[in-house]
Amino acid sequence: MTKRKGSMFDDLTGMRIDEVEAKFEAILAELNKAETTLVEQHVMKKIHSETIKFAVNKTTSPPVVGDEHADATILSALEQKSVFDACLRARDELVERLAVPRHRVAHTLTDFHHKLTNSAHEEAPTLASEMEMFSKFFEFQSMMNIYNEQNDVLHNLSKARKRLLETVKEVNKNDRRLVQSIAQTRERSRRFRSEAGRLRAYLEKNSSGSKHPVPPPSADASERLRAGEALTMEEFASMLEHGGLTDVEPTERTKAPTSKQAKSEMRRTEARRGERRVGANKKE
Amino acid sequence: MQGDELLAVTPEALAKAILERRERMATHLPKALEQRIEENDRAYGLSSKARADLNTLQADASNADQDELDKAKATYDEHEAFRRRTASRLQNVKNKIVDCEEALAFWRTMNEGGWGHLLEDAERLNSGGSSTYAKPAGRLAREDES
Repeated sequence: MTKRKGSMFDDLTGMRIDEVEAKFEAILAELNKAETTLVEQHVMKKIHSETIKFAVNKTTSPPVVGDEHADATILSALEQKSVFDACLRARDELVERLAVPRHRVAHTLTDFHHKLTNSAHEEAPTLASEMEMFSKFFEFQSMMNIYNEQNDVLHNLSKARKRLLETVKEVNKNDRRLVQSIAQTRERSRRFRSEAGRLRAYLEKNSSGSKHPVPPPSADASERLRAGEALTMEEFASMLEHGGLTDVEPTERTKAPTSKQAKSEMRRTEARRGERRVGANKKE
Repeated sequence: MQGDELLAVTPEALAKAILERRERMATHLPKALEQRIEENDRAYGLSSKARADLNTLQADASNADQDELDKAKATYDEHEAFRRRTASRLQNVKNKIVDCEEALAFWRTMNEGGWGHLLEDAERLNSGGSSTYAKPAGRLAREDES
């Protein structure tokens, strides 16, 4: 003998209606709270993504971080990016000003000094070459001094790059944590919505009139619907009631094929399981 | 000389080192000139003799053997080439002597005071300007536009 399946309202049958209503209100409040958290988490995720993109120069504009979303790691990353940019500008200015790399300056300096002071009788430079080399020797000497003075420019750039990369890694780690957190919140929200639907159904069944309207669909649900993801029955019901479904790409619906020929063509692509194969001639 | 030592070199010190090298050269050049003159004289003598022999053979064309004529021509060509080389080397030494005299006078003048345009580039760099290898600002702007 098979065991009789229990009703989905088994736990509510012993309760009074006002108790169920109170429970329903509490669930709705929890649901609202979860939805608000979800929206906040999505905003934070967007800020994380934009911060990472800005830090690695994928975008030129920094993310707009309001006071309510201010995060120490994000603010640190933005600050370090501006420091890194300043170091990069200083390095570029130095390179643009001198144009000759340090190792070449050092090599030419040694070479010119040798030619001017120690070259053999046969390969001695002319007076014109000597004047040119003398002038260049002191120009290269100044370049070398500038490179030595500006040594901290390159050092600072390297340090700033390392620090920024570390912070970006930290932001990325936080972002991954946030994704997990979003998934958990979404799951919690789904459970609340499901429970709210169950309680509403019970209340509708046990009281006259619809005192407890279906809560409006969240922005998250609409986005997931647009992305082609699955919806819960409660979300689907709230969209039916509040018109969320009708907003999704109405133009495409009008373009859908309606003729019988189009329908039959569509059917031909499907496997014909459980029905008799009938040829086109036989049908006619 | 390497690294920091080169950064400590002053224009006066470098000019002095150049002068010393030039003076060493100046002591060697007269001897080199003597050697080159002697070499050139010898080459001139050889070339003249070979030319004379060739002319004699060509003048007496009826008795001259073709082989002898060819041999005399080859000897003349060889000696003439040698003479030209020695003449070039001699001229080179003469030019060096003139250049050395000019250089000694120039570096002595420079060392006494004022470096003229020689330190212009270094001074521009030290005062915050660009090196002579840096692209001019106008050219950079044009490249950016294009």
